Amino acid sequence: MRTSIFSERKLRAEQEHGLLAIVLLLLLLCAGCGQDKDGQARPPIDFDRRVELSPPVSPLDRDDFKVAVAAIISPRGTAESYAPLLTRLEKELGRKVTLVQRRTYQEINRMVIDNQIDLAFICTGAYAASPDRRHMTLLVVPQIQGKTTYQSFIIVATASPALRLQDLSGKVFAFTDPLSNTGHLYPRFLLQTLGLNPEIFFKRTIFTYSHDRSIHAVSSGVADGGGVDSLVYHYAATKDPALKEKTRIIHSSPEFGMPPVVVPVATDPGQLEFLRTIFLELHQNREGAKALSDLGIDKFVFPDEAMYDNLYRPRP
Amino acid sequence: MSNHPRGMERPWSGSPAPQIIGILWKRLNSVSLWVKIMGMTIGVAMLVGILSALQAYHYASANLREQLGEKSLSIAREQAAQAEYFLLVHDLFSLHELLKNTKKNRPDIRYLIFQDQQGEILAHSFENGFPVDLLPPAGVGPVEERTIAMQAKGEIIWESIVPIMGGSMGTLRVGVSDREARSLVRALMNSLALGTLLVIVLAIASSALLTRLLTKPINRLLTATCAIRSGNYNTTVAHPFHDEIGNLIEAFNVMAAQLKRAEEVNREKELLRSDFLKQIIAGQEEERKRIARELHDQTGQALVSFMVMLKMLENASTPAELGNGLQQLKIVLAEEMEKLHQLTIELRPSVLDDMGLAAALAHYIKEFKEKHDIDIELTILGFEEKRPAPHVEISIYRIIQEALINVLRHAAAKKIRIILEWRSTDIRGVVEDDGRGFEVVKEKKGRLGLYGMEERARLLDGSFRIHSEPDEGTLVIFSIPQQETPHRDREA
Repeated sequence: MRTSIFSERKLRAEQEHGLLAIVLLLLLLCAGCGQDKDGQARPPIDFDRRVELSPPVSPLDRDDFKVAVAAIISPRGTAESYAPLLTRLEKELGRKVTLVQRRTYQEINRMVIDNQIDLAFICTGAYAASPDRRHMTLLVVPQIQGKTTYQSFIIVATASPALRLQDLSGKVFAFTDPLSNTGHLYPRFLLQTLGLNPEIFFKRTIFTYSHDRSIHAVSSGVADGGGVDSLVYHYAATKDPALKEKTRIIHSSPEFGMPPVVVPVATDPGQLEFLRTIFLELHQNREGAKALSDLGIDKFVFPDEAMYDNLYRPRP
Repeated sequence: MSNHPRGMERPWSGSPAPQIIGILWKRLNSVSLWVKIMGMTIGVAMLVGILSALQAYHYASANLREQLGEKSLSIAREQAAQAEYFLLVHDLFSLHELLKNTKKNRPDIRYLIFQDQQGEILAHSFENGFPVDLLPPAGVGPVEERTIAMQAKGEIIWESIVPIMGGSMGTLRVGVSDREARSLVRALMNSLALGTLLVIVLAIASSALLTRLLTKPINRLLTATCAIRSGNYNTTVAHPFHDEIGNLIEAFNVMAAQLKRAEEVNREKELLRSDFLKQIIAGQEEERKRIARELHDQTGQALVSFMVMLKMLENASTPAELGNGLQQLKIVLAEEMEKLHQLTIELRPSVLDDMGLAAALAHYIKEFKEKHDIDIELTILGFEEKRPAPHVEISIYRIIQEALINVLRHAAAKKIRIILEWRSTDIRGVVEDDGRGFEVVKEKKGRLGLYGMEERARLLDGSFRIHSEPDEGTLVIFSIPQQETPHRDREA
């Protein structure tokens, strides 16, 4: 009697164990099915469907009016500060104007020589001290604060004990661009006149490829000294007075002709005159004057070719 | 209600749902303890596991979405800032290097695409062509910074679009795949599932242990109960712990012990009763024998002697001899009549029937005192003008008679005090002697006299107790329920 009750219970219990196991299994399976429902209702991207892209069209190959600017300041700063001028130019020309920038002055020179661009703002050094000069025609020269000349400053950090360039022996010196007048050619010339070889005199030299970067390199201590454009230095100092406090000028060069605006020598004379007129008259309308003032330029004036001859001869 | 259509009334009527729930509940309750405990622990473990997994999955997924979106945006911003210079100086080679290095260093980046203002692709991180689905739509206007999620085969791409220099230098698109992050979530889920599984295994083990702990004593109890049912009272269940089951087992053991004792007492009583019965039957036989002997030895002999005397009288020659013989016969006859009367009195005291318990007792004790020379003090209270029922009277008479005989036989007492009191609902009797006494527990067994008294009291729903110690005398107290009734008529 007793055993029969027990065996019956056992049988029933076993059946229930089976049932329980199935329920457990189902629950476990359910736990594994939670899938996320991210993404949106759009056909899924198939990365395997590929197409060969033709190489991007270079801005130089476009039919725009191409203005090259040699980076006196950083490319971004250049792009921002030249934008109003280019917009004005676009209006005057009735053509789309494209800004072309390159890492080095040499590349800009190359584009002018190869007639790949229509107009270029280049550095004094890149024009004056270069054989490329014969491939270019001076269009206009900017006049800044009444002057068409500028200087090279040798600057150090305010805290630096250096008083002369000679004191920077064994230090790090920042050049801007190899073709830059104020940022490389003049400091090198100065060292030569002092009978010093920059490769030996300095511990190391660096190229920053723009004047504002050189100022920052000196003020932040990356470089112990640097040669910079007096225009950029003053401009940067007005924009950020702290820069002036952090740096000190230990040498000023003689006056040089302002970095000019040039066109390829192959430019059609009519076009050249048209462009020159636009630039010379820029300051006469409000929008043009605004664009010029953004660049710190009073106006553009007719160039004096002689300003770029014998660059390092002291001028009156 | 009247405006309701008939079909709408009591929509649940005839619904089998409550019945099914009832059946389910019953079935659920009839599963074994092991299934219940295991079900409960596994259920809890799974519930906790599933809930925590869901929670973790939810948070991880939400976090993932947010993080991937933020990640793609931050990468895009960072790369856009780095690429700005290369774009400005149109250094496409450096741009490519940048893309290549960025993609190499961040494996979750699916792609980087630089496109100019016109939507022309300047550089991208794909090798062997460009995915058609990612080609920018024609005529892209000004682009604002944004992040979108896009479904791809087996992954979700979080694409951030960042304009470079306000869009004037084009845009950078960075696609971050959720593959790696999802595999992390999957790993988390797996570890949670594994943890839950482990907990379930532990739960099964612990529930098996718990069930064993619970059911083992219960099964022992069941076995013990069955043993008791089949008459084996020598059963105790061992349980070393003082938990609820321990208490139950303790109570069971106490109960079993009581049952055992009750059984022993019962058996003893049964034995005594059967002895008593035998004794009674034997007593009856003895009594019959005695009566027969008495009748034969005494009355028979007397009758024979009467016959002889009558024969002699028949042969009497003189009237004087006849008168003398008749006188003799008369005397002998009177003697025999007295003896016969005594016999009948002993067989049943007619005084009890005739005059009631109080008088019968007084008579019996008077004779007892005379016969055995013992000082007996009898006090009878509450019997004035009324008599108990005849069976109560005879029982009390016999109890007191037996008590006195016991005292006579065993106590060697000098004085006996008897009190009989009829209180409102019962008659209480006390027989006390100053004899040698005895150990009640030891000697009660096998003393049929005592058992007879107790049995008589109990038959009338009364109580019976003996108090005695060696050399301390004996006190017999009994009480028999009896409502007061009006004095019975003697004839009745």
